[in-house]
Amino acid sequence: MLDHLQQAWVVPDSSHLVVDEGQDLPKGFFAYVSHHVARALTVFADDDQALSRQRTTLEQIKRAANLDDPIILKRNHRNTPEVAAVAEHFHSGRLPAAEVTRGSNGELPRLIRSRNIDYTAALVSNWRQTRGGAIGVVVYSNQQTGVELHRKLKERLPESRVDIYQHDEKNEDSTNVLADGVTVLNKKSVKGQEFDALFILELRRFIPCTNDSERRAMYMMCSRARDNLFLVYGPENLSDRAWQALPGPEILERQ
Amino acid sequence: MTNSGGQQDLFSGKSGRGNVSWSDPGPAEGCWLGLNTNQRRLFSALQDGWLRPPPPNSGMLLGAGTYVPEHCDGGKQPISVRLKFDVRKLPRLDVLAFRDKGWVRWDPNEVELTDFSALYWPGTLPMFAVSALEVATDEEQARLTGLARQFSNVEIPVPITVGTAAPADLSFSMPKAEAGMELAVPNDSDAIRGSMSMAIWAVPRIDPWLDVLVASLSSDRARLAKSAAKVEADWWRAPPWVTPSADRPVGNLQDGLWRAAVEVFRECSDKNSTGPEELAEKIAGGARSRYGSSEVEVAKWQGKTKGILRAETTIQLDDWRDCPVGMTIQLVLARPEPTNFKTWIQDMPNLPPKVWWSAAALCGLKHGYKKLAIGFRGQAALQEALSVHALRLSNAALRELHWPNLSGDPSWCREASGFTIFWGDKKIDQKPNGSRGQWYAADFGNEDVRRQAKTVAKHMKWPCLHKDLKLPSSHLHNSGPGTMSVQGRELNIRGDVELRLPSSFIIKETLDVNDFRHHLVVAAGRLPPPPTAPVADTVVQQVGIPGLTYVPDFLSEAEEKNIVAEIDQNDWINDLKRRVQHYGWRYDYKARKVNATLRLGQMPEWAQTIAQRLVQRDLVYELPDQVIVNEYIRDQGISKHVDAKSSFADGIAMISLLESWEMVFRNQGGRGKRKEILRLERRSATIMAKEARYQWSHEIPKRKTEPAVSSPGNEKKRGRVKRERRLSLTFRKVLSER
Repeated sequence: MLDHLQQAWVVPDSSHLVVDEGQDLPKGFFAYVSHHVARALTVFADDDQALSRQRTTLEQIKRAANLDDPIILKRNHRNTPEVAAVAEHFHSGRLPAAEVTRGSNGELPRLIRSRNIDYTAALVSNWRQTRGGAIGVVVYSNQQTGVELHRKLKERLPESRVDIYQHDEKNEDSTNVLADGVTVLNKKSVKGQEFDALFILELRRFIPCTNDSERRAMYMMCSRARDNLFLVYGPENLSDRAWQALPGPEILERQ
Repeated sequence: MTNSGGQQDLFSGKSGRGNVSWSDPGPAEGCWLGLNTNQRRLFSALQDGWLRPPPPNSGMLLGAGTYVPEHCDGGKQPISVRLKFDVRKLPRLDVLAFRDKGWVRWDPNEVELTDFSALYWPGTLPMFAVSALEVATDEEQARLTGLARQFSNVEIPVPITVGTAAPADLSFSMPKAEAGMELAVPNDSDAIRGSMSMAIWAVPRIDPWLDVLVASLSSDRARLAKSAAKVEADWWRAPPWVTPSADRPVGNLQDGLWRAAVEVFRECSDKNSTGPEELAEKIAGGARSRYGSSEVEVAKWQGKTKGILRAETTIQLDDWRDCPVGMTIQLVLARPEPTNFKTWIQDMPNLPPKVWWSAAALCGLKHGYKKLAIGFRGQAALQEALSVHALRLSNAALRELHWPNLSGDPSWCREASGFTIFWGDKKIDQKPNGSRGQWYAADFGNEDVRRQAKTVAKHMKWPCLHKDLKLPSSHLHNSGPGTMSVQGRELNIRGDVELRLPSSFIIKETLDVNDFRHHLVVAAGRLPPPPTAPVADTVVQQVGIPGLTYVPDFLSEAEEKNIVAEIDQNDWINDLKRRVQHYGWRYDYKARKVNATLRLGQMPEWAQTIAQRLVQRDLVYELPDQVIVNEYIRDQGISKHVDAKSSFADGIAMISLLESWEMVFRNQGGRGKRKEILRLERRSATIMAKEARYQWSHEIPKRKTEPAVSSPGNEKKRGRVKRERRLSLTFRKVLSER
């Protein structure tokens, strides 16, 4: 396709294009946009947070789009040091973790064993009622857990915004995840979002991480939380290997 | 005095309050001090409200009509920012100024500031004194504006101008300061100011709560205790901005938790690293050990709080009944950020005022001022007043320091659209009316208002409705086992009685207005807006004088009795032949006027109620803010006069109490002299407007008797009755530049 465009003399007609989450786009995309779409290109990418195995590295983006060396953003303005410590536990990238600029709030992320989905719904709705703010709930799969949890949360929080973001319904634009309320979403949808408090459910499905891609996903998910992070498992216990994959109690409080 | 290096011992031979040297009139208008700094210093100072000397200095050099450069790190792309400080807004500190190669003490009444090249400011500069802000280029202006928008807690106080400045004369060095009065702003000041800002932002818009607010900001502890008791929030006797009297056991749970929380939140305002559970533990510990609260009660609160913070349970609205302060602290611990705290309004709209307001003040204390978003800080005048007050409270050495732009005590006054808060004679904040405040000020003399209030009371389940049984003359038989006896006007029943009622009995449901108003102040719940229907039951009589309105029975007998009792509890002024009391504004009888310095604060509640009623019944256009009580004994009177035209608005109301005396009106206009006599019945209102107010004089004749009321059919036989005591309440709206 690129050869074809080149032969047809298709030249960029936009002055500037900004691309976010560039690590999850194929490298050919960057060659295409830089040659045929926009005269100037700015890409934001962190290949340490790539979700797919076919991630595109910073080096590949640079070569494909003929860009200068990347400017490394060295500061983390989102997470508290406590949340950042858990996220960094799963960090597997080449670049050092960014320096946390926010102050501590004195609250460690917590590991919680849930008895059943009602217990989880009570936990999330109590948090919403008491602490307020925008809350994210990450499930492994919307079909299995997300839809039911969403229904239960709506019952418990009739006055509050409770949404579920579903990839196939394309309701991204109608869901204001930054507004106060609860958003249920899956691993892929949580990319690029941020929440005051984040509950990662079905922990057994996410750890132990068997490869770099899974580690990057955990790193990405944990770093979505601004102030409070909860890793929730149960009713089945975690495997021994999963326990070993978790940070120690000085970083992740056990409940 | 001057040494070869241009240095001098500062403040030698002076100590303590002696350093406060400027006397009036002080520096001339337009006098300014200049500093050339950078955007980092500017933003940090705007967050804090104070520009602090760069360490290790304890003072700053400022140009006298020029800009002295300050060499501080402005980052990779510094923006040079020139600041002008208005000298008239600075406190009257003893300062040194540089002239002819030497530092000398500056007295603004003797030497113009412009005769000097620089001035040494001993300490921190208030940012509210910034009168101009200048950068060199349009690009820097745009960058500075853009950078400021990135901070939620920064607001550029004046327009940024672009210009070039003449280079400052730099032929001097920093003088060596010795111990003198230094304008040091202690860290405590930030927490105090955060708390006061949030308290003013959140104050319930209803009269008794504004009383508590202004009393808590003044030094009148007795007034604070009285107003706090009225709103059933006794813990406010110790406001968060006053250092708790440590180690004095107070015994009860509410006071113990409150004082311990104030201590703990004051400590942690500078850093957030203590988690909410640990804070709850510290507060519980403080309440137990320092303030003698019960171990069992504190442990119960702590356990519940932990459960709430861990999302095992939630805060229940009804919790406030048992432990209002406990719930207050829970609200703050759960949502410590003010922007998040604010969302309690949506999530728990039925919070009682005492919990909501106490929590907002604690939230501000914990959060501090530096990080506080602009939306909570209020207007410039409020920010200025609170910076100075917080400094006074946190630095005892500066308590007596004179700030030319801020004196007097805080007060409030009700206006038609809401409330205005003053500091001295300066308006510092305005609040629009809320439902509760409007209900509180509603005219309960009106049947329609009372009927709707009954509906509200029933809906809110407030116990302020009484049932009255009205029986005609009859003989009733008791068939129950109980007995009845009558003592005076009381019927005492012992045991159960069973009475067969006559067919014509009536059960009347009555609203206890005092009870209803008390619930407005203390109870939880959202209220519908008060009735705004025009009042139908005011009987208005026109009296043959254009602009004069006479309203008989404007007050009820009970109202008259209560108002007289209130007035008699207060001090009288004896400057005139008759005794008077002034509320709202003092009237200068010699100058025959009112000016801004004569503001006394808000009128008492009884007067506010009458003022509201006058407006609600369309008797005056503007809400009166001054009342003068005149006492007339026996042959006392008042000679003919027209109320000062330049001091008071059109529409003056006179309420007569205790006795009915005559008033004489005389026309001074060009259509020949006319005289009218009007008998002012007790409890009536007489309103003078337009011609009656401006072209007719009025007087109370000096005499010993008044004509007696004639009986029907016997009008001609009128005797006279001896005068004893009449009170007159004159309600006026002051015309004054504030």
